[in-house]
Amino acid sequence: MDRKDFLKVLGTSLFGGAAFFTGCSNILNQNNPNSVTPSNFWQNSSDAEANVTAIYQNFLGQAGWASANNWYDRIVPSLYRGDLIGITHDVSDWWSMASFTLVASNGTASGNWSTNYTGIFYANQAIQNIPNIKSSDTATMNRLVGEAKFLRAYFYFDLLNNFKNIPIILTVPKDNSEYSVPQSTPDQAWSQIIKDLKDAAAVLPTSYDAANLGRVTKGAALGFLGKSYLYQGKWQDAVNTFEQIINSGTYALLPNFADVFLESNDNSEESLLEVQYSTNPYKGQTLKSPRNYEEAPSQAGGWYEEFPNQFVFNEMSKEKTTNNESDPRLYATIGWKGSPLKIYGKNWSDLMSSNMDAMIWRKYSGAENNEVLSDYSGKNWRILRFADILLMHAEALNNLGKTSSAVGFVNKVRNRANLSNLSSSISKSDLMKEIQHQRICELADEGSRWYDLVRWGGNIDKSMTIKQVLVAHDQLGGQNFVAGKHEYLPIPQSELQTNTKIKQNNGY
Amino acid sequence: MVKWLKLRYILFSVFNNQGVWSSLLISFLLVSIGSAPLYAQNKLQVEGKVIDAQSHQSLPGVNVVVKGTQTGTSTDPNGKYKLQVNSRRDTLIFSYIGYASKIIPVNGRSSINVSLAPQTIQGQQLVVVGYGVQKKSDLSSSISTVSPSEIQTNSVLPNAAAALEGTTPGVSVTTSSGAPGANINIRIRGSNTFGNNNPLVIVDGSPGSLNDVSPEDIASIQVLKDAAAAAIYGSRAANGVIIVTTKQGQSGKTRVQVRSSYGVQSPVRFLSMANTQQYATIDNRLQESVGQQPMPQLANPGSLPNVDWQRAYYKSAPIFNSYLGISGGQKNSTYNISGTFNNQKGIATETWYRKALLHYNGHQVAGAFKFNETLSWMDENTRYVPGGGDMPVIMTVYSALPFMPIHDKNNDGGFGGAPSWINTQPRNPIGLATLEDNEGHNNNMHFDVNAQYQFLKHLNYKINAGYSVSNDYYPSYTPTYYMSTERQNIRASLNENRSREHHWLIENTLNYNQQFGFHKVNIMVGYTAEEDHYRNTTGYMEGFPNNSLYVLSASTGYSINASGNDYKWAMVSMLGRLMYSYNNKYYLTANIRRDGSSRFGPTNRYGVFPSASVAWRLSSESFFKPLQNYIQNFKIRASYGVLGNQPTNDYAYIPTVTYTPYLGYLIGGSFLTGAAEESFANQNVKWETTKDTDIGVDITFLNNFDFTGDYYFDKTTNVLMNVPIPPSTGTSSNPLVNTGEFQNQGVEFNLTYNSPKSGSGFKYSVTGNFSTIRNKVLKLGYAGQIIYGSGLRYSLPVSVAKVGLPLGAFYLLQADGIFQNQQEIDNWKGKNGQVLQPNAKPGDIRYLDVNGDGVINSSDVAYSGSPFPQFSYGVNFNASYKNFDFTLFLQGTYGNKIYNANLWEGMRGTDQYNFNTRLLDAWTPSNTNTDVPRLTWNDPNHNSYPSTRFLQNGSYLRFKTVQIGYTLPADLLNRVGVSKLRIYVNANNLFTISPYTGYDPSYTGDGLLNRGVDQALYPLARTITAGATLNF
Repeated sequence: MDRKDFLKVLGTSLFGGAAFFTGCSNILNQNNPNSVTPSNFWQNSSDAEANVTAIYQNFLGQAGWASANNWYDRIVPSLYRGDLIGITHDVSDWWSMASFTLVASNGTASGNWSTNYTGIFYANQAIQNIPNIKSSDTATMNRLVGEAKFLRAYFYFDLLNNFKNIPIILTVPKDNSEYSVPQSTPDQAWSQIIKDLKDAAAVLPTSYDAANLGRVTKGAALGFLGKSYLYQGKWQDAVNTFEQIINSGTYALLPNFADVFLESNDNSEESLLEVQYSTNPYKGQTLKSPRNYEEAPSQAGGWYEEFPNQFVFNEMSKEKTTNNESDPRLYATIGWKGSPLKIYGKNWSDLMSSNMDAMIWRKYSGAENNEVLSDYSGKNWRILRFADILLMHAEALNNLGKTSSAVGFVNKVRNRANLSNLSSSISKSDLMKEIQHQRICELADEGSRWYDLVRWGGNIDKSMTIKQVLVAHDQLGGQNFVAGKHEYLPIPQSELQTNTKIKQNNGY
Repeated sequence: MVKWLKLRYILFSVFNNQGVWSSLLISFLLVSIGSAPLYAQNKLQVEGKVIDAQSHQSLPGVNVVVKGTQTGTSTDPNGKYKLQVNSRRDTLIFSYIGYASKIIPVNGRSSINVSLAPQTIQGQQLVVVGYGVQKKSDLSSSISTVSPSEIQTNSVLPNAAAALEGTTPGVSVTTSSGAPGANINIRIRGSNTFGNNNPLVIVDGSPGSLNDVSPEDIASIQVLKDAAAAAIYGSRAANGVIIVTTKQGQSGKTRVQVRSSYGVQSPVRFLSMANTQQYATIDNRLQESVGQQPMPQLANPGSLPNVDWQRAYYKSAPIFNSYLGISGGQKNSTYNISGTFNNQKGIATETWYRKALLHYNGHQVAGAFKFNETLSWMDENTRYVPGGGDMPVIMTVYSALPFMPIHDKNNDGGFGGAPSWINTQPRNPIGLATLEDNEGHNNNMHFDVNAQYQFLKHLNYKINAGYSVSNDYYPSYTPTYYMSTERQNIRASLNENRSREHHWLIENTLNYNQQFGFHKVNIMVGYTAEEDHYRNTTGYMEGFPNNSLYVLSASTGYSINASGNDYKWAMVSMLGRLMYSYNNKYYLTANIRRDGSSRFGPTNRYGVFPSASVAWRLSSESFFKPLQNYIQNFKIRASYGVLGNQPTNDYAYIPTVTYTPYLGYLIGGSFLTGAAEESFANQNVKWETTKDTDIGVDITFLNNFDFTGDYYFDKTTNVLMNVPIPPSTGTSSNPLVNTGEFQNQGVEFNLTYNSPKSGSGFKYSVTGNFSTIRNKVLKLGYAGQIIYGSGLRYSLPVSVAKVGLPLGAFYLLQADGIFQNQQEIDNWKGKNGQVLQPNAKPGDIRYLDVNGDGVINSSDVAYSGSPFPQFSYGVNFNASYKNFDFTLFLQGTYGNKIYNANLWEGMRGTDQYNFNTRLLDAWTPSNTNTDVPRLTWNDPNHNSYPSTRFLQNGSYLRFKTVQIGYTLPADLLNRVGVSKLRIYVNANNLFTISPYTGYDPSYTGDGLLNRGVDQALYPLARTITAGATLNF
């Protein structure tokens, strides 16, 4: 091509200007040979599917090594501010977030913001363009739009609970006049989330065939819908929604608590929503999670970034099972010197001879296989599971005064842990405290504790403020917590510098 | 009469040996006294014609003076003159600007025809102006010339670009690093754009690179600085143009030149990093600051290794250059062919650079046809410092722990690492540099041929065709190794990147040259087209059976990645120029060029770029005559022009959907590729426009002084910027928008003095240059927002583009000393009475609450200094005495700031990488007279934030080159058939006077927004070279 251009131009140039210009103005028309353009994309169902895949990718975090972004941008904000963990301080962004000394330039806060908004940008592309594709397979098209709407709602849910005051963007901006969007009120954000979740629940299937396993389901949409009502204190709406899930018969608790976190039980019947990981490399992309390394002790080759604190250990040791043994959830959740279970193929005393009093998290350790730590984890991240649904349902019922109905759902969770049934005459306030206790024991290290503390304003029965809870449980930096400020993260510096219509959150 | 002669005699006796000053005074006296009655009888009329010795064209306006009198005339439009002399024995002096004067005794003749030869001394040589040449004395625009001697003195350096450093006012030459073969950045009169700020380099008529030309082959370098000079290159000239002309052969005997030099480069200075003992002291105090016990492993530092990593990593390294040139030819055909070879190691462990050049330049004349062809080939091989992952190796050199052993036989790879008990585990920089093989192999071939046909006496057609190909190959191999638990590579990896770029250019120009009496006219019209095509392929594999197999196919295929891209751009242009001059007094040049570029959408594709310049030589006016003895040439110039600039991205205006595994996800256990619009394209991208004004003077005075001065002012509008947009849009890539406005202004002076020949054989010349650049951002983005430079490792950005400030202005927290006690902290209050730094303890840094919001945070950053110097200067002193010659070249800047990020790294004190020893002087209640804050590991007061604490004065004066040469006596050499043999010793970068405490003030980041940021840069070496030049 180039040689031809050259010879043509050389030839015509000898015949003077006019011929020359007709000969070579064509070379100014270059096409970008490196990518597809919007004008030849959005043609068929596989284009639609590829775009929806890109939305999921933001659910995962960046691929490649950066699949760790899921850890950095989503898991750290949800775990590090709670009162159940201790952390080491070698990553300053995480340390300052955990110790409530963070500022607007915090990389983890801005990472969470960006990852969610990138997902929203791609979801908006799908929601806007897929309906215009002419395809006979309308069912698939509708489902893909439903998936996009669920994911958009999920990203907004995460943003709302982390940042409180967020811009709601529902279309792809046409030009620079649409780049800066002001913040909506939390109520407006909730309405949008609920609308998307309802739309998604209406079109998403209950389950998928093997080839589509991992796509979001109607159950996931209803689960987040119920959770959204619960977070707003709309107890009756929450109960109605959770009932749909419970009565569907799709979901059940696995008989054995420890089995929930086996890699072989990825996408089990207890699970409503999971991020899909695998240790197999695909097309040069690794889709694995560094979480096992983050939580493993350095003696096993891990980074030991965060670990259980004494409070969560005590909580889980409070009550014996019906066989007068320790709560099985203690063993499945925490590794410590008193646990008979091996860690990375070794006894605690062999592995941790120099640091016997340490504790580690087990749920995502991969320790169940007694394997040596040699690669990141392929275990899916459980985002929403049935035990959580049961406890949230019970909480909503109890708040409606239907304590006796609520007890049964709490008992389901207790029974799986071999704990006895609660008395059906338990008082509303005692059941409240029990729900709080069960949420800690059942869901420790799964990222819901901090959001529970914020929505309750401290203890579930208002007996302590958030700061009192943090201080009482020796959360590092709990002393620094300022009510009215640290419940939420600062709007990232990068947004403040570029968005002409944004306001910083209170206190920052 | 007698009286007068006597007076003259006395005056000359008195002022003899007083040189120029005497002639000044004498002339003044003579004019005052008057000389009207001096002429009497024996008058004779002499007439004749003056022509150019080369072109045989008549020369109008030549001064003809009777020696020793005020009698004189000048030639008419046909080059003819007529005057009367008093005596048949009088002598005539013919002088003309740009030509060697001739002194001719009348000897009784009444007709004397003279041919004057163009003279090539400073200020009068021919200057290549782009699609043509012009006498320097006829220029009306701002063009600087670098002479071959300046280029060749500096040619111990393997890149000809180095010759421009400090020699040309307004031209800034910075090296991106001290690494062998490192890129050299040239900026002419500052920066105009966020895109490409590199000047266009034209080698023998076609775009090329200074790196592809041997300094020995260069006949001249011209720097076109103002828009009027550069505008003929249109949109490619927005950053100025550098025109390189290579030497042509001369007919006659075959000449051979051999030049060879050998030198040693050595590191100049080291940062003061802690040894093991000092490390333990600092670390113990840091542990103590958070209530922890000292690390037991550091209790007895004497038992641990103690490595000075900088001295182990930076070592003296050899440099070798050689050149062989052969030139010659016959009457109608000449050639010049040369080979150059550079071979050097770098001062950093396992870095090297080898370059070979082959150059051919030939000329043929056949009747009305003239041909000229240039062929050059370059082969360049480099071994780089490895990247080093999260911490660049260069940074690891000073962050490495002193108690890490260099070698450890038991480890895979044989290198030591950090012990497991320490939290921070830097890689072993020597190990990584030795094990990881990062190389670059580049191959450029450039072919340029042009043919000229002289239609008529005044009309000339030229076609020029240039073609170049470059093939680049970058392999990078990392074997398996073990240094420590955190620093190991369990799978070898190989990355290979190959690319090919080819470029063709066709230029047609028609030149009309005519002289009508005093009127000289040159008209040139032309049309050109060019196209560039780049394509690359990258393959990456992880997992190899062993460390000796490194080809991709040997991989066990643990991880496989391949990618490739293809880029193409094209330009089509029309151009025209009118040059007019009248009687060596008035000059006018007007250019126009219309460029079409494929980098714009169809509606914005074409740009028109006009320019004009005028000059007036006052010294040719009759009223100037009385001053002519003091001021030989006085010319003022003014120019105005418009230049364009295009985006660096070939397809910026075309929106794209990224369809890639990178956006993929796992569904049903299989991997699905994702696709999305990741960014916003701007389909309205259009030309950036620079409007440039230049006013200058060229003065030759007292015969031996040459002065050039310029004032320039340019303003660039519609600067294409990747405007940062809110992350809530969901993209981190910023759309390209024509929105910025920059301005540059400054003055440039160049003054040369050449000593007259003296009987003692001592000759010298001094050249000094001085320039200033005031760069200012006038407009940015949508709402005048700040654009931040890229953040440093673990740090906020330190420099910005902001309206009203220079580009890359430092923008930092304002450190205001140290709190000495709690009371000072309590009293440090904001406007509303709130304590500004409640987390501070005595010994912490006091910061200013710049925005007055009562809180100290990252928003309290403010303008803290400019990375641009207030002025730059260079002084070149050359002297020769008999067979000895001497060159001294000084160069420097004044008033620029450098952010010393290396110091910041070493003084952060929030992790356990090695510490700068200044931390030993940290504030304690008993050590309060210090500017180093207290040691505190968790740093609640953010002492470790980038602040003015780390901003230093970057002024310097450098002894850049000192050279002493000796030329062996010719009679001795002639007997063995050698025409010249010169030996010399050269010191480059001998020493530098500067308050800056980092490695080197002269190169500290070269990006637009990290200029003056010194972080992890390969340090510059001092080079001492000995060499010889042999001609036969």
